[in-house]
Amino acid sequence: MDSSNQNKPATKTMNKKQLKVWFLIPLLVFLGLMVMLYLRLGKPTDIVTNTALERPVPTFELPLLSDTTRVMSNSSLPKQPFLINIWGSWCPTCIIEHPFLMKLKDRGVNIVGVNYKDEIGNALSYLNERGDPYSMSIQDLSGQFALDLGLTGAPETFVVDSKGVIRQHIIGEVSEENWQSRIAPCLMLLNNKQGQELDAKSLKEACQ
Amino acid sequence: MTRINLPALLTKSIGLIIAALFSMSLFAAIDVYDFDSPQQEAQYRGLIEELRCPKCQNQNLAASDAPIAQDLKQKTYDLVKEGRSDSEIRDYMQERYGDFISYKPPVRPSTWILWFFPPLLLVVLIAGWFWRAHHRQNQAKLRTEQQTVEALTPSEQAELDRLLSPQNSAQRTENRTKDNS
Repeated sequence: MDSSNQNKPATKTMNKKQLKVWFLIPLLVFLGLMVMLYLRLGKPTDIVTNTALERPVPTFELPLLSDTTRVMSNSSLPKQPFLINIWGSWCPTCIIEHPFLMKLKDRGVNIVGVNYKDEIGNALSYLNERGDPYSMSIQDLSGQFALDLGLTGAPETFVVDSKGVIRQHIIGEVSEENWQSRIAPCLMLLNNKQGQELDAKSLKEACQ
Repeated sequence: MTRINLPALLTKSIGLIIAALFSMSLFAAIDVYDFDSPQQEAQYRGLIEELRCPKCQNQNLAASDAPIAQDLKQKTYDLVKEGRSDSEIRDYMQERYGDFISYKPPVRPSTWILWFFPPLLLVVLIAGWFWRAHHRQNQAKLRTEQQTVEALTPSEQAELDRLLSPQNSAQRTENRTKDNS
């Protein structure tokens, strides 16, 4: 009789201890969430789709904007590292970006333009008015070439190495800021290592 | 006589307006694409539901009017018309836009956690639940066993009988009255 009376309170306190542990779990989950969310504060929320990386420039056969009777293809691309810039006269951000592209031209950066879904008259007068920063512009009326590149919207810029492999994809405008922080280091590495094998680590560091 | 039947005219015009509204809403719901077969249309609709607009982050192609979404819808339509299969079209998009393009990510080591964690969690939870239920049942069984084991021994039973006997209770009341006085 006595022994059974002692047993009951003992199991009860054990249950209480177990309950306390179970109550701690939501608290721990909550703390984990807080840490996770805190670490993400102020970080960009956009998902960047730079999937054209590490691929050769897609094959294309498109007319030259300045002389549409001439058809350009992959072999017409520069043999030195260069930029591909997708633009259109209808695209407001391209207009904002344009003066900086002119600066890059003055600094000796080779930019190939892709005139994306534009009317040729508008495109040519756009270049006449604002200057032509491109070593050449090819005409992508249907937008198929841009689609093959993985374009999400103009303007976008791709950094291509001397072998014609895409190494960097910049969504949105090119400005002094991302030029200094992202594009110039990548382009410099590609220029310095022409003809040599690029090691993955330094590439990843310079061309994120 | 050129009398105008006003009620008839009214109903007619109202009918016309309703018909116009209907046809307009029908136009809004249907894209301008023509398909060779209902299967092709179903394939197209399925794909634009599944594929994500790369520009707008949280919309599928069907819901988005972004220029790139329109282009990709057009491309999907072209590929469907060419008679390509679902997986061919998915591959085409994925080659250009990566895993991000699809709301249905492919199964590969880097996405295993995405695919296998929820069912695993479910299995673990169900197993835990069963274990607890089993544990509780065992405890209950143990308790009843203890109770039967600790039934009264003959001497205890005698003691109990003695305590409960009318004589005893009479004695106790006597004692109590004594205490009170």
